[in-house]
Amino acid sequence: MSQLLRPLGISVALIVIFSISSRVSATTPQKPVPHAIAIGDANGFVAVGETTTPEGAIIDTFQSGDVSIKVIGTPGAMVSFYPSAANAGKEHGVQIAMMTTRPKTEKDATRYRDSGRTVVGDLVALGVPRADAEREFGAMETGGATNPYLAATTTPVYDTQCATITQGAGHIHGYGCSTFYRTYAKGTDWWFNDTMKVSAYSDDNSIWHPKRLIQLGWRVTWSTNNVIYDWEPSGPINTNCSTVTIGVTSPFGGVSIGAPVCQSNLQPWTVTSTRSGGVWNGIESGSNVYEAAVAAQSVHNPPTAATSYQSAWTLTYIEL
Amino acid sequence: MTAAPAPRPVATATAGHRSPFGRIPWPLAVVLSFAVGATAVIGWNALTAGELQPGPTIAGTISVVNHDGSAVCLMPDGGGRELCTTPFLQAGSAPLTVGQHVTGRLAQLKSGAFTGEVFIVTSPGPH
Repeated sequence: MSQLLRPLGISVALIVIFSISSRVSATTPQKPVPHAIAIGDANGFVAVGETTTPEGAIIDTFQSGDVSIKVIGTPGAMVSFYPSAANAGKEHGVQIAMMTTRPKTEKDATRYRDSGRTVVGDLVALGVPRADAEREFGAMETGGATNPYLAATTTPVYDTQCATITQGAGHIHGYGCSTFYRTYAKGTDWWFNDTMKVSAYSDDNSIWHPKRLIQLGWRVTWSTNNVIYDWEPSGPINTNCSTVTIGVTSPFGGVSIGAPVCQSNLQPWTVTSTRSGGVWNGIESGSNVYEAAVAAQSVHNPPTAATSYQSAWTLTYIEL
Repeated sequence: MTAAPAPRPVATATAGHRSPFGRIPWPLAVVLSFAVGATAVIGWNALTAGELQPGPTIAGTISVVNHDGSAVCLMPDGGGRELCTTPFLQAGSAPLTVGQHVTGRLAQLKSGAFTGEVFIVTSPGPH
């Protein structure tokens, strides 16, 4: 009998040790690493990894608990984190704010394009599968052409702010970008069109208490003296599993962005004279159902205003 | 020569399971009742649902206006969340400006697969 019990006991002990060690390693904070993208408000997030793309962009990975966020940018950019919890711990959310200030010079204005960076390339560098990046974000490459990812660029991209997120014990995945197009420049009197898109999904197939997205939003805030000339969405839009396409106009051309969304309630997100965006509210109908929020804005960046902008991304999920 | 066998009697519903619709079997009666009810609900919805469904009346102060007045946000009187919407003005009305106090009615405007919210401005009216 003891010959049977001994190996059984050893097996049980090994399983217990393995499960404890994996639990400990999952919750143990990783050692912070040097990072070129500065942290503004950390709120528990630390940089745990940094790489540089062939085009010279920096990818920093930040982590807090089971939330992992990757941001792509250039040295001098700043990122802040605002985690939240509500509804007796059933709702979990995080807001990320990425700020960039660029010199207002012609030499710097073409820096992004000259480096060879693209929206899809940035997302792939962040770990998004290329097919997903092209399908979801290819339209951002030239500001709304029919097949822009492959078409000739008419309005070059001035800059992008992209990030990816994984949270909810690895079940919630999302990625989003702001893309900035400089549409007019006379001296330091500049105009921009921006498109914003964030896409996310849950792959949680749990029968009990699956994690599902309930809010997804993206907005861009400009520094003082910039003026939002036009924005979309301008009011709530409701649709059931249709492609939402929105666009804005400016004296120097328009821009549009679209996304297929199910059970969509897309609304403006806290609009001011220097800020606009879009936020989706709802609940995912099942696992692997991509939800999205889109927004667009045109901005006058007069000589008195700095070229300084901040993309903010909010993502909230609930344990049903 | 033998006589053909007599046909077997067909089972009939007992008095306890007879439908209230008389000779209609009870399962069919249930189906018919459901169909009548569903038709009534769908019909009522079709009668009451239009392309423009009025909502609540809102008063507030304009906080931001886009370049041509086709998009505005306002802070409702008495507080609450900022409302951003698409204003519909009466002919002859001046474009809305920041700081202006307005009153209007929210409405759901159905257009194809989409339903958008609009704000029908009742005050200020035309000059």
